[in-house]
Amino acid sequence: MQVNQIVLFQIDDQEYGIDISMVEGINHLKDFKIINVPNTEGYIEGIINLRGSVIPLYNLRKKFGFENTTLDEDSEILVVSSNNLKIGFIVDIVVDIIRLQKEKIQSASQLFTQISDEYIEGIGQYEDKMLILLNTEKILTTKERKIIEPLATT
Amino acid sequence: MPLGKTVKDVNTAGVDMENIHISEILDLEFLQKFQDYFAKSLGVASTTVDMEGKAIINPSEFTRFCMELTRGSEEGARRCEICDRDAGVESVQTGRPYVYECHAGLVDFAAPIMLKGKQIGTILGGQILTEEPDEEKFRQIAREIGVDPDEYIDALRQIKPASRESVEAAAELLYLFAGQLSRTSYQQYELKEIINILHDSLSQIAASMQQMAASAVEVSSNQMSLNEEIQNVDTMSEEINEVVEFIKEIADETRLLGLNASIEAAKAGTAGLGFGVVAEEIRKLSSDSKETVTKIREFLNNIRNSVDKTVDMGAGTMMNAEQQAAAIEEVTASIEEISALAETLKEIVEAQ
Repeated sequence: MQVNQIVLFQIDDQEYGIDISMVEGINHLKDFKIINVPNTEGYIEGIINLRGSVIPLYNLRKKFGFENTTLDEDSEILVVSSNNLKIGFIVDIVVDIIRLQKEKIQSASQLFTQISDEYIEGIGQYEDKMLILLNTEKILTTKERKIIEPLATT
Repeated sequence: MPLGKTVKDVNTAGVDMENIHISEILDLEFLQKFQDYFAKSLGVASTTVDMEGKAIINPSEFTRFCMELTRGSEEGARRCEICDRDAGVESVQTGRPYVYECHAGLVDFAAPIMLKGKQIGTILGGQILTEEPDEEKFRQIAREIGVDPDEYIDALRQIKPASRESVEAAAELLYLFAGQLSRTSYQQYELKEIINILHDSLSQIAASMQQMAASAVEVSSNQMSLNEEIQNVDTMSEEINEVVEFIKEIADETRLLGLNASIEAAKAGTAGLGFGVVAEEIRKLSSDSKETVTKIREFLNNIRNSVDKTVDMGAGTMMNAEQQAAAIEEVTASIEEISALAETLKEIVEAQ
């Protein structure tokens, strides 16, 4: 029985999960000064300097179509790697790291046939909650990747 | 606290009519003057006596016939006393002046001094001859009482004659005058009584006011001490709050630390397994801390609410105390006004 360690985070009431192997670390948003980069796509909030590395910040609220897209000062940055690119997802809070059995995961293709969001790996069941499991490799569009690549230092 | 005699006592019971003596009510000096001039002007002897028949002022214009001779003799005096008393009784029964012939043959009157329907004394007088005296009769009386008949007759001739009508008129006049005088004097007496009671009552109220003022001051000062203590609690609450905030921050950092440690442990693969366990313990610690912080927060909130309530009550008490103090001042001022009025009233009454 395969058990994955999933990093659980929350935006508003919704909980999401990313496999731990794709996660680099977690930080407080307020510890950093966000530097605005001109001519960048709406989802990219800017860049920060994390221990010498330049990390672009990605507003998941905007990406997932949340109504309220403003950043709370108590937000956290979930640093993930996406095809060797380090980016920081801005989330409300990183809740926990959980162990999820494979059986509890239903792949997205099984549930939704029309889903256009490839980055949704599947839906996981944890306690009485439904988690949206994300695939960081596929979360950036090619266009976004082109913009971010020059900004980020690997 | 009982105030002793009250104004109600004076009003309803009136002056204690059983025990009060006429000399306490009437202005005797004034009565004497009036009696003297009255007697002189009309040539009618007068005297004022109490209910026992004892004179309360000096008799006016008493004739030698009556004073020296008739009353001078033991038997004569005795007869006069009986005569006076009987006349008094008669006037008591009727409540009106009574004109009669005395035992010695002169025409006398008894005018009752009435107050509130009760007799408090009598004005006796007369000693008039209304008709030509029967000399023999008088000589007989003289012998009976042991007085020299010639002297008796001589004194008799000194007596003024007057008509019975004028005697009756004199009696009526005295009756009206005495009645009025006693009414007026009594009113003054009552007024003085009331003023005294008022004075006592006001003194007691003033004393009570002082006590109240003193206790109001105590309440105020207690309240101020209380406020100081509340301030202390408030400050300590604030300080505790700050510490709790700090703990919360540490708990949060610990959480992040734990999560990051777990992530690193996962990356290390098998080598990181042991460390991963440690990381989990750290995460658990942080979540416990958070729970505790929440509980403390709640606790502090309750303290804050209690303090606020206490402050409100304190403010309420202060206001009450201040209102009390203000009210006491007002009452005291009013009392002083009333006292001054009572004093003025007293002066007016005494000047009558």
